[in-house]
Amino acid sequence: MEMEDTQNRLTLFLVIFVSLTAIFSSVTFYAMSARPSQSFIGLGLYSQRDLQRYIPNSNLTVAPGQTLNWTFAITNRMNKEEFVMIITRIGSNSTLSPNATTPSTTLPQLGATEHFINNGETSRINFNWTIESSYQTAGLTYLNVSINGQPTISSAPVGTASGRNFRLIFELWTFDPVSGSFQYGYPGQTSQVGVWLQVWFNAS
Amino acid sequence: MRTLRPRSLTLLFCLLVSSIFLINPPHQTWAQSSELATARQDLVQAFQSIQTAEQQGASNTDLLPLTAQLNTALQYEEAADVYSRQGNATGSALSLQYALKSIDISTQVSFQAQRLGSTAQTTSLYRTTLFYILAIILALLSAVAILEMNRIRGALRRRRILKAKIDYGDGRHAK
Repeated sequence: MEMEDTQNRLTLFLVIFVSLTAIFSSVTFYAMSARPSQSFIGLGLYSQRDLQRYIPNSNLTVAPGQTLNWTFAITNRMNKEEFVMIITRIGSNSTLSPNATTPSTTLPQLGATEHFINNGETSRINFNWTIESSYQTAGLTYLNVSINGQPTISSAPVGTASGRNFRLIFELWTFDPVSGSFQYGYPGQTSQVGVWLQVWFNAS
Repeated sequence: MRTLRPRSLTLLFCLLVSSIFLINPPHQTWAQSSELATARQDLVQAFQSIQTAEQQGASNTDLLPLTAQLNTALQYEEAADVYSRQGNATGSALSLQYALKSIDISTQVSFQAQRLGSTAQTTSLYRTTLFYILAIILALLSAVAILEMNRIRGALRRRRILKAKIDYGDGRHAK
């Protein structure tokens, strides 16, 4: 009788012990797991002077020789280190814009800036640009633009009437270690997510 | 005299070819572009090492200085690229100098990231093991507590009774 009672108690103990082990292990696993979060990369552009009271396609006029000092702010919330590149292109009101999936590869590239960004950090990258000169051909104004002191690059074939309605387009690209090349945007849950900005200006 | 003519032509050709190499040394150009390519590869490798270290559990605080160093290496690599495009001897020398600086920093970053990742992985393994052992010990203690609830209650009751003060009735019943 006592032997049977001991056996029953042992069985009961094992059942309780195994159940509690499962419960406490699950709690431990949950506590130690990384919190789910939506990963993204944010791209912003600001300037202490030039972009204040900026209204798109309206009031930013840039004179030849004037250097504009802007700053990119890139926020990395991808839960890993990122190697990003910002490609600067020049466009007008008659050229196609990039979108959520496709960059504007047909537009002339004025420059590219690369940077490593730690996870959870916001990096600030200086972007200084100057319209070195402009020239007119067939009624259209074309610009020679210099970025961060690099050699001047022509806006051709992008030109506008009277130098109005130009725009600088900034595309964010991220390095893909698998392909060993930069890809437009950042990897989303199902596909690449395109990130881009634009600033309209008139050349005086 | 006529028989010597082809020989002298060959000699002249050889001299011309040599003079081209003297004007634009091919080995130097090759080495320079090779160093630049290595600098780029090392940057990517260091970047991947940091990503691996993150996966292994290295903290952002530890990796932040490595990212800053990697950006410095990137600046050197970009400078090397700019100088290499100049196409002159000074540009080539500067390009090589900056490429080597970039390679040096990238290699260091890669090494440090691997070390951080390895340490983080070991720490993470210890911590995980410790937490699971604690969970099992807690489950064991709880199982014992549940099974022996009656005994524990009895022991507590007995203790309470033993600790309670005996009321002798202040001698009222003694009379």
